[in-house]
Amino acid sequence: MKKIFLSIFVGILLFSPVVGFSGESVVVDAQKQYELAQTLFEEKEFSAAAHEYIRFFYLFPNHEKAARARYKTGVSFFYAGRFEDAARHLEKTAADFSDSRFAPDAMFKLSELYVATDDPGKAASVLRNLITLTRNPQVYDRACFMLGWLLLDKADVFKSRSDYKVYPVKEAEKYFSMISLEGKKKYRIDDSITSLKKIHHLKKKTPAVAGALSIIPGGGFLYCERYRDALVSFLLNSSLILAAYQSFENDNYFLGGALSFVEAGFYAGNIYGSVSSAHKYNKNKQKEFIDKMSFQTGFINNSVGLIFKYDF
Amino acid sequence: MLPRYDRYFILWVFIVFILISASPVFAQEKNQSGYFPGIIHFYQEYISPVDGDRCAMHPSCSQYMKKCVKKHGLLTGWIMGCDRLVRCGRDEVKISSPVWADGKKFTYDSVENNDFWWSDK
Repeated sequence: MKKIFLSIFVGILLFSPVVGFSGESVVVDAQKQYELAQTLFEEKEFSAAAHEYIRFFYLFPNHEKAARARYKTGVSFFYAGRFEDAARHLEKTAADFSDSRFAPDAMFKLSELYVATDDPGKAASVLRNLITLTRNPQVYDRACFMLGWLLLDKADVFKSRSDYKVYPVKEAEKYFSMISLEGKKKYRIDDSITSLKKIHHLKKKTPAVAGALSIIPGGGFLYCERYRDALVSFLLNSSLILAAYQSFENDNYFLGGALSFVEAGFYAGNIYGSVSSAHKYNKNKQKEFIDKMSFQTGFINNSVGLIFKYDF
Repeated sequence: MLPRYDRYFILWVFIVFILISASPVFAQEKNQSGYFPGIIHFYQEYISPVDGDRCAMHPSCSQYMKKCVKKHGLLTGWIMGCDRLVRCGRDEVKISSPVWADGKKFTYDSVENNDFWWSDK
């Protein structure tokens, strides 16, 4: 009896109408997946593009476009403003696909990223590594050229670093001179090197002199051609010193002490401001010179010069 | 009236204090931003609204001093802030680049623009 019921049950199961899934099945191949990521990238949907490139890399890790996908992931994250993710993928591209043509591109992009995130020291390290590692003369020239300009553009930032012993302008000259003859022609670097020599003859202010002159309040500002600041500093400091002195003379020690405390800040601020103004004066002079030079040598029009468009 | 000897002593203490405080070497201290930003906060909260929004720089002088104290400690922050008060709205306007905020033009003068020559941070 049991067997009969079981047979009927199995029969019902087998012959009952079953709703089937007769929809169209989609097979994602490498080409389609890459095209999807590429389309999103071209439509400037950078975050979505990055994720599609990651999917491609995950599904087809041994595909011939894997290196390109990894590189494009980094670039997409970069344009999406996700700099940490971008740095991670670009570093991976350079490390895992060191023989690919995308490795140097990834390192160039990485240096651009560090300039964008206000870390020129790391940007310079990446370019130095690239110069050491590459055997491609074109990549070598480009890296030397970009590192030279980076050192010039950020000379004052590099100079402030305690671990940075070399004068950045001299180092820039060194890297420019390392460029091959062909590269020098391509980047019109001869003009730059000739112009660069003039940078040492720029009229500069000595910070120590500014600091020493500021013993008389406003003297340092005057030396740095900041006439209004000098006048205000002189009047403010002398008034406060006089007021403090008068307070002590009149046995008003509390007021005298309070005024002395405020004056101490302004007097020290006057010294600090004078030294700082001298540094700023020199920085501005150098910046003006480099801007003029980059314009004259056509650096601004050169595509590799785009690295500095993220300078803020 | 203080005796002559004591007056000279106070004067020397004053000179030594200001010369030491001008040295950036002493600016490495951290976590000294306890009460001072509180005073700045009091100024920003209660005095500035009455006094009016008159600072020509960005960040404003009080914000700048707050950032300086946070970044370099109380002593250097105080000195940098005083320096900024002297420079506010004068020659700096010709030197630094302008920025626009809330439809108003300001002169951009960040902490980094003023400590780049000695600070790694």
